[in-house]
Amino acid sequence: MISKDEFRNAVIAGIKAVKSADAANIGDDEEFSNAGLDSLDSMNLVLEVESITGLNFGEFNLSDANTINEFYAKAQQLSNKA
Amino acid sequence: MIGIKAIGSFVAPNTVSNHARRGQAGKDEGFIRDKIGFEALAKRDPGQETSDMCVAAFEDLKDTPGFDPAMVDCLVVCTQNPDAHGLPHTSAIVHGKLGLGPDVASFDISLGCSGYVYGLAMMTAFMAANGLRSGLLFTADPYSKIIDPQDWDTELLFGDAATVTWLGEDPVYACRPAIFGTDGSMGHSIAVAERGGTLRMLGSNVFKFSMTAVPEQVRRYLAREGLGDDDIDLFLFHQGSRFIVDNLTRKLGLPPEKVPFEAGQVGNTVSSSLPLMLKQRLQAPPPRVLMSGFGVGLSWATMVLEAG
Repeated sequence: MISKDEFRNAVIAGIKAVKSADAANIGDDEEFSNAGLDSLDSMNLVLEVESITGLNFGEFNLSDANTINEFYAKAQQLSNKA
Repeated sequence: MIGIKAIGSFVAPNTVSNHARRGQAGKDEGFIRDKIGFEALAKRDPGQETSDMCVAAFEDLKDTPGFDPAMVDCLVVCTQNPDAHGLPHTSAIVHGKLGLGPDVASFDISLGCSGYVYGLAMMTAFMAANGLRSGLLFTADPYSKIIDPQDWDTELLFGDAATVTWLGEDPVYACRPAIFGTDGSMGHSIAVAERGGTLRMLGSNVFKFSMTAVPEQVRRYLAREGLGDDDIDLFLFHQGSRFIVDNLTRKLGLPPEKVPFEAGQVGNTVSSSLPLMLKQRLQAPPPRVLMSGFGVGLSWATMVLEAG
């Protein structure tokens, strides 16, 4: 199972890729909109995180998990099912 | 060889501004302009049927030098929003409205955004196999028939347009063999659940599909055809949104100047989005054009056109 630190790093890298930014700062409980992501960017973020982690979130919509903590919880569910 | 000789089009004349209602939709100006990319949508007149839009596209084509309606021997309509409930088939209705003779093969094909590539592949093969010489491929899928105006996930996206492509010998563009894909297990991602119902679209599913299956198919197709990116002068992708076209461009590592987004004042016109763009190039055709359509089904198809 992916660790929280690894997952957080993947999300941060994903946000940087989506926003074409050199840096991205967001707390584990902050909503992704605080990092400048809109609903379309969020779709892209899921793909970036899938690419980095190798996880497949299937039909998951990030609007249902709006923070790193919630997103990681989804990743844990996937790992537990696998 | 049978290929594309000319294209006629009809873009519905009524315009709905997405900026004017972005407050209602909870979107800002940048999201409308730079993300979905559709600043305005073309909307048909109430009561204007799918066949009427086909006839209007035909009006734009009929004066093409060398075209003779009396010589048409094949007529296909690509739509999933036919006249009435699709019985009789819209192609027969169009045939009647155009006053064509009896020796014409007419049928509909039920496909969405992949429909133009499918239609070209089907018609060129069908015409060649049956000795037909002058075909009309219509695309007309007025989603205004099925949109829930309160559903901003779809209401801001779709416009109404129709096209007709004249197919015959001595074409402007010949069609290379195409490549096709289907994932019926994800069909619920763009669907109308019951007759008379409205469209429901799971945007995250559609985006994921567009960023995975489509670039994979394009790469596989180019390899199969022995072509590199530099061999293609223009990449025409279905105009699902600016966000999808821009991200496909990045994903494939293509030069943005070779990948136009031209639907900003029209909207996503489903199977008409590719021929609307291609029409603009027929006077000075780029030597080699790749087209890829993808959407409802889920279905996706890619083809290269070769000029003269």
